[in-house]
Amino acid sequence: MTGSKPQPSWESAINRRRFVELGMLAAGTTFLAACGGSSSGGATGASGTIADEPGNLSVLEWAGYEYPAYGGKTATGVLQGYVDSYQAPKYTFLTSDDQALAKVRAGFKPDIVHPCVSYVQDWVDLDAIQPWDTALLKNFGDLNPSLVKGGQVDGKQYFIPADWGFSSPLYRSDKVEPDGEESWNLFYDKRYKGKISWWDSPVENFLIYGYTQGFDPYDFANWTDTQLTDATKFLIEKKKLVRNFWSSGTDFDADVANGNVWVGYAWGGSYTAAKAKGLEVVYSEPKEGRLSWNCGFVLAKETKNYHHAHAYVDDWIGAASAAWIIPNYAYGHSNTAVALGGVDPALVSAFHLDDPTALEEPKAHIERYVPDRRRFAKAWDEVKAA
Amino acid sequence: MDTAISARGKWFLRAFFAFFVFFLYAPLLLLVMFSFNDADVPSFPLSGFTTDAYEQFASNEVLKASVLTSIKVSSIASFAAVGLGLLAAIALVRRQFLAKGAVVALLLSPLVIPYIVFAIALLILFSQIDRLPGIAFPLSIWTLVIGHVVILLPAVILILVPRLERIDVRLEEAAHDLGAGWVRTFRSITLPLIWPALLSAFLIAFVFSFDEIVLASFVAGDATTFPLYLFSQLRFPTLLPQVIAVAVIVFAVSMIVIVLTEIGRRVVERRLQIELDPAKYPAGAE
Amino acid sequence: MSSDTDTVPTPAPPTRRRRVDLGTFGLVGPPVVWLVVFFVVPVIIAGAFSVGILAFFQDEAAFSLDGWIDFLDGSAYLHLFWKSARMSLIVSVIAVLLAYPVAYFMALCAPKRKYVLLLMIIAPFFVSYFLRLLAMKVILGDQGVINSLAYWLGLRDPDDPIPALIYSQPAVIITLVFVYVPLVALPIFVVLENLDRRLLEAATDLGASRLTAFRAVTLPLSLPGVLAGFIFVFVPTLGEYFTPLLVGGTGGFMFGNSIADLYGPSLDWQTGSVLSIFLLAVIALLMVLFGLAGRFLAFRSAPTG
Repeated sequence: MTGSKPQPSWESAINRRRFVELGMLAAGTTFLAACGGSSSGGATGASGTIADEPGNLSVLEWAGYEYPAYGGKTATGVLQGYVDSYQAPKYTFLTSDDQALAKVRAGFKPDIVHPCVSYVQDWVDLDAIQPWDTALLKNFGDLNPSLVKGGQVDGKQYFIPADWGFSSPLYRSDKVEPDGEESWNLFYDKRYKGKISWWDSPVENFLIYGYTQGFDPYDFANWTDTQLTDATKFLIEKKKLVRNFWSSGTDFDADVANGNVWVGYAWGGSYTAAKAKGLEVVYSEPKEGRLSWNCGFVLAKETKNYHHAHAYVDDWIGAASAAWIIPNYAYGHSNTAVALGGVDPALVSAFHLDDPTALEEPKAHIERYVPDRRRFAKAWDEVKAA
Repeated sequence: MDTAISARGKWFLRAFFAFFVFFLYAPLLLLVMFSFNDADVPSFPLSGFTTDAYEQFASNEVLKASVLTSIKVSSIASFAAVGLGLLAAIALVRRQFLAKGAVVALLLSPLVIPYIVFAIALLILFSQIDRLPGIAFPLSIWTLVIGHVVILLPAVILILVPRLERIDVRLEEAAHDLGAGWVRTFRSITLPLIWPALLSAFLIAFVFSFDEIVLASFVAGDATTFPLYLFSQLRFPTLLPQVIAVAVIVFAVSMIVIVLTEIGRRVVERRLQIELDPAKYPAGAE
Repeated sequence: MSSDTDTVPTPAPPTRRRRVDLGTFGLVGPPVVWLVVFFVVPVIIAGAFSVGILAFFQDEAAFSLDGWIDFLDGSAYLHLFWKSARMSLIVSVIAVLLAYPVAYFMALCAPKRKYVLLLMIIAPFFVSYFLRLLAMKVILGDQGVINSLAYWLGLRDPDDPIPALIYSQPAVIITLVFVYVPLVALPIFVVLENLDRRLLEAATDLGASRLTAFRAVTLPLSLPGVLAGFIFVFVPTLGEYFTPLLVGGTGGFMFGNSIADLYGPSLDWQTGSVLSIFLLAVIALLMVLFGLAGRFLAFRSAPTG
């Protein structure tokens, strides 16, 4: 490929390949720079009607929220209204918020994505989404106002809240006795060495540290370099008490069921799973407040199915879908006008499904955008590698 | 006497192999048990026998489709990888050319790269190609096949090259001297000698591809393979029993294949014995 | 390497055709082109990320070697790399040591059943790795089979289970060894099954013990397979992240995990790419230093096929 004389020896063969690679690097990046960059053109708008659109809605979604939900179990209710009127959407499953971002950044083009609210700013920064037209959403008025507010960036409604829930310490009441009031400090309790499980996530573990130390970790001014270093050292020390950093709900549930873990960071589903296994568990209300999460829908900038997307989301946030999601997953739904009659009262009280203010400050700490996630991620990797 | 191994050595190796197989299969036997267990999460104590998981799988269209997709992707990718790998292996072993070392390094380098990096970069490449005017290059099972072939090639080459090296090139040269062309030589001389290695390479490639998740989660577009379905379900264990049921079925199929192979082998062996020693086995005996 | 050169007539080394013709391009061309387009270009893309030409948020893109400097300048990641490399080496050596008897058994002690046995050790891999590990956790967990046995035998107190069976560094090593032994055994098997028994017979006829025959004949001839097997385990385990994630607990964090994290929740593609290119470079360097490719393609005299 280059003009140099062929040389049979090893090292020069490798060198020549490197040279060629560098040449291709130059060519390749010029090519990429010319063609790449942010998406061209403006957002597709509300011009035209629903009949003008192709209708092949593509949704990047968590498994379990698709239509028909959980094939095998009865699925009427979720999105039935949408599917009755339009073509059934095509689903691509995401495995995590960051994987969804990565996939779209790398070139995948869905119409709708279902991320969680702390990532909305990233979606906006990626220039991949456009605001919703809330006038097109009939059920919009029934939505929890604080969640709606959380989904706005620069005053525009980029995010329609859909489902919500808590994250809290789960513990075995037959094995574990909190030291005084229920608290996140249970994660650092040396009495339960080797029986504790934290979630493998860069931000949450520092949030928990902040709350147990008594400062507001979402006030990012608090996170000076010294504070971060102290937190890192603390977590490295407490790591010795931890059995595992769980990465999936199933993994954690298996650990609880197998008796490997008695205390852990858990979403509501783990509570119901453990109870189903016949274990005595408590989904605690730590004095510092539970953490809470909220996920919902964002609209792709270059979608060709603008009106279909709105119709889809409108159905999802409607009462019919909510009536299915809540009892089946024990997750909250952002629609506050849903009757909870069919839901197990024990679940309603454990997860405060009937209280729309339950996930606001100061009762719970709803997830928020973290501007310098990389910093925390680096510190968390330091904790894990130590 | 057996020059390769003593009687005691054979006993020891047999025990060693048996132990190894036992530990390899123990988790699978547990999975079979848990597939009939009436609970979402596999753990003891058992909660009662049920075939619900299998029934639910039978009506879960998305799950069934994902298994079919996986079979399709893995078959095509393995076939292509073995084909390309065979070409490369022949070239490496039989031909001399410049920068051979660099070529070997290139062929084996997909073993090194972490799949997540490769998957994302590959996706970027595919989307750029798709953007070129006049070219439509959508993400689909074919883009996934392309990615899988890349990561399967090193495995195929690592299996075929040692095998090809052991074939005496003079056999092939003799065939040429007798007037056979390349294709004929390959078909009559080389292929019969290497088909077990080709089959092994195909099997390993298939197995790698069938359980591969990272590339499948990025470059397959909206196609869902079985491991991708499995992983996206991990948030709640509700569907875990069905997924375990699928795994058990896959396991059962592979066991059936093994049993059939053993039976087939015995049948062939018996036939050969009859052919070779008709006196011992009068016509029609079996 | 055929050490019995005096007694067993060694065939002349086969001639290699110095044919750089259409045939060679036709053979080596397609795989190389495939890899150049679908592998080298993505690697270049990753390289571009590592120096900032491309970035996750493209408006932040700016050429900078900071990522490389930070990494090479004694960072925690570099330290993690050496720790992981050590673990990979341990896993690889153990895997090869265990795979050899497995391959030997299948190839030389079970001449009729060898393919069935081969299928038997590959078949479990059809079942999802994650599910097998989930089942393993039931066996190895605190209330699992092994611990229950220990309580029953009185070896341990029910309140004091053996914790290191899962979620520890040894657990990662053992699990990785188990996963890779069948893979490593395969190339060794492929070579051993074509061992010419006559060589061994000749050796023993001349008075060598089985062990000597093994050492002088079998072992050297099987080395290309052993080398292939070693590459098969050492190289992938350097970037391994899934097993440490599932069974490593808090102590089994490996280099591959940091790459997965950087590409995951950290959204730090620059550092992630730096680490990945570094991994590639290290392996390329190793292959050059050990002339691995050369030895891999060792043109030993190849009696019989």
